[in-house]
Amino acid sequence: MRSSAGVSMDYDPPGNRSLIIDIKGNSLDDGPGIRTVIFLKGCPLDCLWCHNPESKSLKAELSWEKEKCIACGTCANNCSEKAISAENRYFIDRERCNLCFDCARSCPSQALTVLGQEMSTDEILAKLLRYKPFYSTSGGGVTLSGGEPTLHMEFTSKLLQHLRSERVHTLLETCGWFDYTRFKALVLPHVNLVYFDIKLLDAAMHQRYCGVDNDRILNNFMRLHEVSSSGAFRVLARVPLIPGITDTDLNIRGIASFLHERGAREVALLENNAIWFDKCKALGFENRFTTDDPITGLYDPERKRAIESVFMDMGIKVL
Amino acid sequence: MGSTNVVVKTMKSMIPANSVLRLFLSYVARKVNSSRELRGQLHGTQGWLNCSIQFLTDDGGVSQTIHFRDGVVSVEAGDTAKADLKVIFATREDLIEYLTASPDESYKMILRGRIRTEGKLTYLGNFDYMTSLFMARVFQKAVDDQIKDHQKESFKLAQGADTTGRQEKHRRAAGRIGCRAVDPGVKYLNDPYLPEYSLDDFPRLRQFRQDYFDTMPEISAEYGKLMTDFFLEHGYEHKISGDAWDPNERLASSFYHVMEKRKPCIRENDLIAGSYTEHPISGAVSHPYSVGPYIEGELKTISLRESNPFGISEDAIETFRKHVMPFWKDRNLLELWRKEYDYPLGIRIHDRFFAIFFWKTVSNMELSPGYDKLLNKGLAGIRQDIETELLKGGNDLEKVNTLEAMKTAIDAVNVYGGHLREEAERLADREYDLARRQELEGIEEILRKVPVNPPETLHEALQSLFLVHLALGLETMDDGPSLGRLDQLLQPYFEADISSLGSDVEKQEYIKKAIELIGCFFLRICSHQIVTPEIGNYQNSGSPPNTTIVVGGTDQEGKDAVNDMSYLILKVVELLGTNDPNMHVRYKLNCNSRDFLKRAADVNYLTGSTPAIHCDDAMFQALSSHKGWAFADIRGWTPTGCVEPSIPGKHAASTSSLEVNLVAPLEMAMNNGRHPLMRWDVGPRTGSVENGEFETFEDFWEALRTQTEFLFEQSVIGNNQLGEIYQRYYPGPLLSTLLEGCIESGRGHTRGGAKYNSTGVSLIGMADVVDSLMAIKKLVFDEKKLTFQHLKKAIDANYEGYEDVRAMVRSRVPKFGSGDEEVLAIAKRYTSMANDYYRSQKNYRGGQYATGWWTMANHAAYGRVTGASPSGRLDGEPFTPGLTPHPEASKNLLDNLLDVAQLDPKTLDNNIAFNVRITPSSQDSHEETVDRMTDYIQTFFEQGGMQIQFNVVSSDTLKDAMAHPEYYPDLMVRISGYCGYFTQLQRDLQLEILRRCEYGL
Repeated sequence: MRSSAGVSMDYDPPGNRSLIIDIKGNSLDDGPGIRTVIFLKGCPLDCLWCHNPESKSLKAELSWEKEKCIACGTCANNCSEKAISAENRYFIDRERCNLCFDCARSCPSQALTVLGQEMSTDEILAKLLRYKPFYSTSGGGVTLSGGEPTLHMEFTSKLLQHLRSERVHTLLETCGWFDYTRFKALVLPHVNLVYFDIKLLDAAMHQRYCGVDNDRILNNFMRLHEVSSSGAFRVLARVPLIPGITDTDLNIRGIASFLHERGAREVALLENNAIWFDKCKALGFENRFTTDDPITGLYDPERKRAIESVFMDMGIKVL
Repeated sequence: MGSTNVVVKTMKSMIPANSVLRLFLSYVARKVNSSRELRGQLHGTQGWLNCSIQFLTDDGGVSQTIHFRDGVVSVEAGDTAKADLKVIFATREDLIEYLTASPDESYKMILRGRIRTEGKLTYLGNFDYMTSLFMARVFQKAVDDQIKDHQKESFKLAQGADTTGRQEKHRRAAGRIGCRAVDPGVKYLNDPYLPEYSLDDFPRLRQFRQDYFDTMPEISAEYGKLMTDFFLEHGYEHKISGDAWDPNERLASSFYHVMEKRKPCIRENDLIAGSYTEHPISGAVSHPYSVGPYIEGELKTISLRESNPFGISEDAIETFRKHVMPFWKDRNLLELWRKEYDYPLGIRIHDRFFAIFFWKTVSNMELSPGYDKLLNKGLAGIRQDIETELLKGGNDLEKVNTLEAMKTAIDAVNVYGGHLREEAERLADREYDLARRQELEGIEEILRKVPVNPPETLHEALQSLFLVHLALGLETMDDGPSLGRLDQLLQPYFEADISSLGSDVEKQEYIKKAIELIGCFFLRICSHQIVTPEIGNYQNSGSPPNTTIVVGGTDQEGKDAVNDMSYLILKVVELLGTNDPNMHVRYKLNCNSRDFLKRAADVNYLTGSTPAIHCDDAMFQALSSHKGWAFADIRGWTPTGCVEPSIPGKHAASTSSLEVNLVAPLEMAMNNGRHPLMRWDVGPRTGSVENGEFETFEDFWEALRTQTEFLFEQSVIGNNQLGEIYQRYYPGPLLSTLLEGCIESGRGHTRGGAKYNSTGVSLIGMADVVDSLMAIKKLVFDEKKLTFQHLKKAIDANYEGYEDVRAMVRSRVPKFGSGDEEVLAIAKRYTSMANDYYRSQKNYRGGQYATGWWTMANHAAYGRVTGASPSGRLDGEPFTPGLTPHPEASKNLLDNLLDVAQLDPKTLDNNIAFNVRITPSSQDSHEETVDRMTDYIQTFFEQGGMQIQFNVVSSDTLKDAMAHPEYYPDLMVRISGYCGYFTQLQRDLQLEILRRCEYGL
């Protein structure tokens, strides 16, 4: 089985190393307390509005940030494929580039960087545990995000296991498109909290905007939610509010009823924000929206309040 | 002399510099000689005001001397032996540039070493004053132009900036949170956060606070005049009879004269009597032997300047100019030092602003007097102790003289107290408002009792404290003395008052009354400012005299010392939000409650920048490294001045004696002993980068260590010389009565009489040096990406044409505060090196030196006099404040916190200033924000951190405030160890604060 994003369901690399996009310390918005968020690379979905476009591919990528570039020409001199040119709007000819990353290694200002560093669990743990005192004081911990951490089930499992043995609170952010059996065996025993994204309730819409159908996602949510009644972990549904796509009355009411029927009492709403446009450019493509599209602006607070009341009317608390 | 422009503007370009200078000086001479009025300004109460000032250039070809002699001004070409002062320009172009410079530009030229002086610096005031008399309009225009330019830049900077900062203070205040009392020492407050009270509940305080922000401080000539009167009558170098003065006797006698003759003032509607000057809302004493003389040249223009202007009356100008300044020109601390030590190297370094500033030329008062003794015994009780000591007899002449002088000094305070009581009586008699009349009668009653006798009520205690604190500020200097642990001092009186009240309603009323009393006390404290010359704004712009107060921590047995008063004082800080008293909180891990720490964070959030928060555990460790200091005493420590530790009532601390630029010796090591901007081969020869004389990083480390220790050595020599000046001229007998050991030994605090003795040093630019060392080590020696020569060339070129080198340094070399182990190791090695040196040195009182890593505003001033650094810092850019990591060190605040916490407290025994700028998310509630701040502080402390505080202000708000200061009169920010009002700060400093890393919350 393959997702339309081209990721094989069977994909599950060995668990000692993985490609990491970023480890972000002192995060206050990705779960309770002071947290460190680790972003893994690769995602089975292909959402039109993806806020972390650099996390989609399973491979390392080259990024060029224009503001950091001092136009010294060192990279072009070091490029064996002659793929770099200041005349190029995206700086790098992605067709020619063979991803040797010599340019990034030679760049004095680090305008050119490699997105996706292979790291071992030990290396990552050393970084994560450095901030452990702050987790303890604040009731925080570590959040696994991506990309999609469950794409690296073995790796995720190992990392979570280590963290829990260090008594660090663990949170997993997932798109929900995973093999439940393996998830249950490998991940669930080691996680305190799961943030589970529910984007579109209509299967066709989901296929259209996210590249896969939502059957397995909704099924996974139902099962997880049921098991969570044991109290061993918590699961929280999160809905991204994308203007005109996920925030339609129909979709919101649909999700609210879905949650209500499963007995979920809480939901989190994620406002769309447009900071990801710059990221696209650094990776060598344009985003698919024009500037007059509401998706490019700040989210309308009134609309948000209206959506909140839909959930609250069904007895679902909006966090 | 910055005022001397335009006259020559039109003709400057074509004429050689020497002729321009001659023309200008001749113009001054003609102007003065032809005006009876101007010539009258050259005659003072003690005769003609004479001076000779030579102007010359290093590149030769220019030399003119202007003589002011017996009322006649003349100009002489060529060399002269008679000049009191030489003003030396680097080049002829600098001379021309200076003559047409705006005030800011001219100060920058001085700071950049384009102009230096040799000789008696205070003599320049005479010349500047005379020229300012007929150039006031020119000066005014230059200032106006400068303000307009700055305004234009600020408007540009603020384009698009969010303006919600204008309502931010009210928004935060509206969200006040409460808390249930948990601290064992809190006995009467149900909710110690006291959220029910706002400033509107205290009309008196609201009015006083408004007055404080609306009133320009007025310079008073009273103190200078009385001091001068006294010495003219009785003699200064020796008694008029020809007999020698004992230093203590001289000081006590003049102090008595001042206290007896000064005007007793009770501010309208105030509850605490007394004032620093005859301007009770806001005044400046201007001690004539300290910074006073430096303002002579600015007397006419000081009210016009862009930042921190002062008001001054024509009468006061006349008194200063004709009576006070002439007397103290050669008798101020700086000139006494120059004269009595034959112009030593230390003073030459000091005069050029680039490497060491000897703060003792301003004050030695950074310590904490034993106010507990005052409250317990009253001045009468202390006087009795002195009598008893005298009765023991013996033939120790110094002891007898010192003790006699102490008695005189105590009598001086009591005389003033008596006059104040009479004033209260007089005011009460003519008061028609019955309520106010009762208040005045109450004050009169209180003054009958204190400070002579021990107080019994809170009101009496505050009155006694204020009177004696004020007197200490007049005895020598009003810069720095700390009030110490005010919550511990006042709690017994609070308890005595409240426990006698029956009903809850009465108790509630009393708590409100207590807040009002403490508020009045605070506003008394902040009713005085130190007058500084305008160039001083670069160094400590917007700094108040910094009367530090601390609450919390442990008692002498190590038990939780938090009490009702701790919270009441914090409430007053919240309500007033003033930068003086400089407010501090001590927090002992596993002892003080988290709720107490949270309240400190809460007040920090509400005020935006205060209190500073200290960890007892780290400080105990630091102070325990001082041999012979009893642990019980260490537990009583208090911050002083900015943040520096001292032991109240036992410790001659002088915690702010030296301000040393650490990047200067780095530059000297890179240039074989030469300081590039000063063009001065001041240091030892330690090897040349150009000639490849450093083969390893260790070689270079040795060079840096040698240059650094050379400067440190000069700082110690100079400080000890200045210490001896204080022993001979400013011994401080009153202060000595409040320091344990002084009465018993018969030695004042400058003579080592106190139980503990140390000298505090402020080391400036630590992060910049450490980051530079890391760049050199990694790029030149470890990875060999660059040769040292190439890096040096890039630095000498201010990285122009070497952008790749700078980019490499910035992106590939980890900085202190990034979490990198190697750079942290360099930081530890470096702080140990500095501390080892100072710790090994003895001061003139037999104590040791202690190293502090806080910077006042010197990180900006010294940055100005420092060329580009290996860390990627550009020429003239500020250093980082205190030992705060560079803004680019890490995007993750936790890395900063962890690295700073790793430094060994023993190497930080004069404390640190760690400033973090945060902007809370608008999504978070007040409680969430404060909880998060508390988490940061608590964890930082648990990891070994010593000191921290937050500036809770966004970049947008700072930009909006620069463009629209009218909306932000009370926007307070922490500079390093002190707080200032942002819109009044010197512009360099505003930009430095804006550049600081802004961490979201």
